[in-house]
Amino acid sequence: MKRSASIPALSLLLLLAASCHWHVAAPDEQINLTRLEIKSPEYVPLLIEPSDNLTTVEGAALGRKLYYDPDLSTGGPLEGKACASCHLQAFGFTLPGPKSPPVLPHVNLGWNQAFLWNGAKQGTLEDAMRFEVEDFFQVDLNRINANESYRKAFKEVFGADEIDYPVLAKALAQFLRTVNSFNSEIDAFLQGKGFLNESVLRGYEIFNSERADCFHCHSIGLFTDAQFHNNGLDSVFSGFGEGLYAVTGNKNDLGKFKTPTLRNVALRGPYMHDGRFSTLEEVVEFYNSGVLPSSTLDPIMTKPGKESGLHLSEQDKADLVNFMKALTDTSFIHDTTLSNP
Amino acid sequence: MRRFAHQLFWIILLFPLMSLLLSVSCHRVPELKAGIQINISHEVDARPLLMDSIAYQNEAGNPFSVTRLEYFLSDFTFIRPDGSSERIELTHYCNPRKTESLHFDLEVTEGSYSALEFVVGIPAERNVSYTLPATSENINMSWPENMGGGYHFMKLEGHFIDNQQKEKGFAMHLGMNRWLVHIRLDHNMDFKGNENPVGLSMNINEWFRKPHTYDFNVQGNYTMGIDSLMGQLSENGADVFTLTTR
Repeated sequence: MKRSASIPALSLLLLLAASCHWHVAAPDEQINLTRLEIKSPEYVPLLIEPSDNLTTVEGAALGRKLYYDPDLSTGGPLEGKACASCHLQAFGFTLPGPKSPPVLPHVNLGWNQAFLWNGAKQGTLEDAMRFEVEDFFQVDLNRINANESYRKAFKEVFGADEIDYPVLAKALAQFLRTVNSFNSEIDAFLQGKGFLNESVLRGYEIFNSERADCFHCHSIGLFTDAQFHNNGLDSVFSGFGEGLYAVTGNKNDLGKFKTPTLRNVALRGPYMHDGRFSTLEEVVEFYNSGVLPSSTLDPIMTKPGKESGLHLSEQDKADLVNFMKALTDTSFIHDTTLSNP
Repeated sequence: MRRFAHQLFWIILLFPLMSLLLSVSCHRVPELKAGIQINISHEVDARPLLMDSIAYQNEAGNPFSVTRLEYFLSDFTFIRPDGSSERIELTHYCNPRKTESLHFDLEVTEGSYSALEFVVGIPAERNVSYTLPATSENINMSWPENMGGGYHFMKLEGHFIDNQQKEKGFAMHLGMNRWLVHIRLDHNMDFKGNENPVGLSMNINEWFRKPHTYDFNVQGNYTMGIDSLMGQLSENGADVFTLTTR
């Protein structure tokens, strides 16, 4: 009696075990994805990659297709535009020319947890991309779902029967985690594979010392600390100039903006959150002599020498500009694996 | 023959007994480990640290706020009353804006201890650029290669009211091997089992108190790369922490 009762029980257990295994293993067996390991130099922090959206060759390829597809905006407020319309690879995935606020570059975004100049979007890259597709582009999901090619691809890569905003965001995030620039002249120098000319080397030393003190915010590696600072552009704050305060409501955040990366900075412009400077020379001159006091001015900007200017010579300023120009990554802007498929 | 059998009997009986005795005497009693929970807090002369608020005054009378506090603690050494010690090699990043960074666990042998030593910063042999895990926090604490390399030991920043009643910033940055801050806290501690919380409280004002009264108006509001000022901070730092146990 006992033995006969144990057989169905064992069968039930086996069935349960088998069904659990099937549930977990099925997606992998179905789609056979290839994991894409994203490499970066030792002086760069660990990539932020959520465990539920690890980058794959197929996922990044799908995201890349979306990134360049103007159909994403059909029927929405940005009709006719793709992500790539404002993030041009030739300019380091941004859009040069007068625009306020200037378009922040899509580069090394996988290391970010706060997005947009004033940090209006915080969280993962997936969260930021969800904002892009749902609120910014207002993607017509019916239209995307009617596209057989997308339906098939999203089913294969994400196991999605229906394309929704979260899964669109996942695909775009995967692609953007591959849009990385770590191959400039400065990188070669940092990796011991190249030399800098005299001016760039002097600029490197001025940048990375107390003389100009750029490195505290534009940390070597990503050339941003991904934090928010008031760098002394204004003494009074209004409108978009309120910066992070508009997001947090904390008066200590008045005039604070996200540190933009300096990678490929020479390819873009104008500079600062309101595009007030047209050239890198103007930017350097601002830090040399134009910093304004306020109650939220970053303490780093108030070292004794800075109050009356950095006292950089014309040669120093030229060296700093040359250093920033050496952060241009030509292989990145010509990388065909990132271009319009 | 009978005598031989008798001897054999005793040999057979005693050998395993002797072996057992020897084995027991040679086998050291395993040392049990006690779990220690380090909990870090920050205060300014017994007032809890509230970031971004010019609510404090240092020894020199400068009203000040703290806008940033990041630092490393390394190498905890628990010292027994007999002078022997147990050292745990680690480096831990602390930041009051990141509460998860203010708690970490250690293990030491169960027993009594009379002091705890550690350093604020990173010991010279490990203060080498890009050798800590590549977290954003660690990377952002890098000390530039052309200034000696390694890491900042501490960034303490904020605003203060100067002699002309103007609000200014200060940035007390500490780094470079010779300015490692050595802490020794004499305190009787008995550790047993897994629950042994140890509280470490940093009094910000001690950085500015003794032996050097640090006045932002006099010494200056910026220390990075200035040996004389980093030296003063390092010496002042010896008693910034107090220790509490349950």
